[in-house]
Amino acid sequence: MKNFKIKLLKEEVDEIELYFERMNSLKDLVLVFESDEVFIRNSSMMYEKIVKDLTDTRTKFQLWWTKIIDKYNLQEYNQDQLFVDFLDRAIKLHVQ
Amino acid sequence: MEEYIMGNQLEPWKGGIAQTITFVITQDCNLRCKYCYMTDKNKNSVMSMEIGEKAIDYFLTNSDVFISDAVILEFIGGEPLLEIDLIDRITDYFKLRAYQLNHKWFTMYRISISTNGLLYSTEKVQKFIKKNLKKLSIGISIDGTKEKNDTQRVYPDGRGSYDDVVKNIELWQSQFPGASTKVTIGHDDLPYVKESIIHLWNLGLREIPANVVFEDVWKEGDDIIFYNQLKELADYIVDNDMWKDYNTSLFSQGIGAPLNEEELNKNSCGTGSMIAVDAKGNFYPCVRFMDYSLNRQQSYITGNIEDGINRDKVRPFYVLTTKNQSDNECLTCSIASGCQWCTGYNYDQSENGTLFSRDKSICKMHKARVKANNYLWYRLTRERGVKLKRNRGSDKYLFIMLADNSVSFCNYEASAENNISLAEEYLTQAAKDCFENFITPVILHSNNKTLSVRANEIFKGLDYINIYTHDNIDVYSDKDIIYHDSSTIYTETTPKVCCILKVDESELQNLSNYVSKALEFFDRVNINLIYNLQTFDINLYQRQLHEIADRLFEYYKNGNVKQVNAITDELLGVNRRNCNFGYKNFVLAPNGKIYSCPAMYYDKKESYLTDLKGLATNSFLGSQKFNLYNNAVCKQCNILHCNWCFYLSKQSTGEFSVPSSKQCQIAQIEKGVTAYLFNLLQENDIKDFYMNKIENTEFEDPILSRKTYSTSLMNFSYKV
Repeated sequence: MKNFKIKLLKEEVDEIELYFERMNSLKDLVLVFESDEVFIRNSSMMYEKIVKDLTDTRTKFQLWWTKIIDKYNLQEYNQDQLFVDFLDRAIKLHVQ
Repeated sequence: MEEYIMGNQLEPWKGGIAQTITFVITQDCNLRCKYCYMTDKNKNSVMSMEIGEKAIDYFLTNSDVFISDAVILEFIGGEPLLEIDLIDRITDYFKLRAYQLNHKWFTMYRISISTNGLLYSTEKVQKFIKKNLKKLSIGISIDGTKEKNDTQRVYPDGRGSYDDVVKNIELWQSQFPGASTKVTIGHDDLPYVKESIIHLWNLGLREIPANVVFEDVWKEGDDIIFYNQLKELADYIVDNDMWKDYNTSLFSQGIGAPLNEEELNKNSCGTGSMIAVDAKGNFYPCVRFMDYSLNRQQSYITGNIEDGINRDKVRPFYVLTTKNQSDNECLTCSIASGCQWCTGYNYDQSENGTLFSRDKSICKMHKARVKANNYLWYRLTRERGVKLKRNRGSDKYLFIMLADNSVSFCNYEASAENNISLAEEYLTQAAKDCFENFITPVILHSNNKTLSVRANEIFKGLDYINIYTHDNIDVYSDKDIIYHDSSTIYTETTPKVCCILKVDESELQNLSNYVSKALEFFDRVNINLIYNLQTFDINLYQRQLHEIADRLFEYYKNGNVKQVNAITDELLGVNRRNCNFGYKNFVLAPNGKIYSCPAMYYDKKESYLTDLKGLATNSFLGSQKFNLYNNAVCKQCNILHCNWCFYLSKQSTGEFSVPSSKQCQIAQIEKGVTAYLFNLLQENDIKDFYMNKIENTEFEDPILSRKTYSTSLMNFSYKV
């Protein structure tokens, strides 16, 4: 299990990295709105757009995993056990 | 292969292609580190929010200029955490504006802060960290032990800062588990290098980037102290198995070799592609070009937030390379790789405020580092069996014949007629001279076990290579080579990396069988043909090479990288050079004299170049008559792998520098077989085993394309 490693295509890694990074960016942007000053300066419409964007990105993120688990026959693992090593371009198992 | 991280380079985010924008948020600092290059710290240069916003707007609305897919917003000072509120507001502004503009950097950004760590645990800083943790990296500078740190990193009143920083390290590590600190080494703290690196490892920091300062602070003997510190650190690393899980950039497998083409054509750092913004909104290539870093020259401004980047001012950075900053001594240095410089400091130190110069204050410290690196990798490879990830070294070699019947690895026959062995005093002297002059020793063993053991004892600690006879293998590392002939190769039982396979011309019809056998045990086979130019059957040789190419293809199909010098060197993109004997490689013969090549020793004992003491002066090295690029015929040829032999040339044409046509033909035949293998690989869509595309062409003697007007060959059918 220590050496568990599923190599991914570059396009596959690029796609999931994009969703991962965007989710984090959106989550951090949501925190910016905790400052009232920012909330007043920028309309609540923008906040709602960000929240929707975050929901959409989460969905894409999840779809990617569903597709990849199916493609590489990883059904025996919980998704929580798996992660993508962007540098190594591979799916690996979290160390328990 | 056992995994280890010692010598690895830290991988930058996004492979180093992200645009770095450095906000010099303040020029004030709560410390006064003695080695700091920012010599003009002040409280008057704090960036305003207006400047910060304008800078963000400029970068986000000029996507035609800033084309990278990712950005790093770097905050430095002075001490940036003095202005944590401002950093928080600027980064919030970036997030909002990038989102509003639907800019690609909204998704791909990082915030990076370099701090002395004194304010790390304050409420405001902790709030900022929690808010940005997923996109944030923070580097805390701590130089090592309390003694070392407090020698340099002091408060304005002279007190050391160690105790106040170290109490924050545990929190920092818990928030940034892979964090590393950067150690800067100056003259005063040299004696603490070893204990400081160990101390930081013990604090749980596994990766320690460290470097000596570029400035001219070094005094007589500093290189010796540095070498001794690193050597002791190397011993600690090996004796405590630290190389597996710990790393410091002081040790690397890439340093201490001549510069390759890539290194010659790039700069030492990313200055010019980075942008630093100061409190006035001016742009700089990096902070080392700002007033507060410069002592002799004016600041180097490349634009501002109102007018944007001045592309003309950036143009010099696009063409800045090692080649055009360095003098001949640096360009031809045998151990130049890994020697670094600061372009900003070069500029400051230059006579006329130019980028195209190089300060060499660091030279002797680099040499000390290379010596210590050689020592560490020697111990790891020979004592711990560590496999090197990169195999680079100096381009000067001294082949040391332990006895008259040492292995003969080229087109000559060793003769044991006088049966002389190299005296121990010569061995000891050679080891010392090789160490001091960065010459790689290559020990040519005989079947004398006692001599081999003694030689390995004497060369212990140096980066050296053994060429062993098949039945007398002493201390072994993957750098070593095993010498076989057509009969002993069938007695081989143990897989190793490289062998020299001696085959006589009379056995040529079985060459492919011998090589196939050797490939079963070795990753690389160097064919050593003993032949006579007049009688050598070149067609038979060609057929045998084709059979070997077919065998190699079978390996490649199964994903195994195997090499045979005559066929695969051209494919794998070797640098063009011949055997380099007489130019950069020399022989220490059993009589204690230095020769151009072993064949010269056997042929004519009185043809020696110098005695051993000449090696230390280095004055005889680099005889131009043996330089491939001074050879009138070879200059016309583009075959990379050819081992032009000046000894054979002299025998056949009467001139060292004019090879016989047969020699040229042999090289061309070999290249033709390389092209055959290349085509096989291409046809079968196997792409991982070649770097060069090889085309087969009809043999054309390079002498026909010589550039000279003195003698015409037009009236003379030059048929080989």
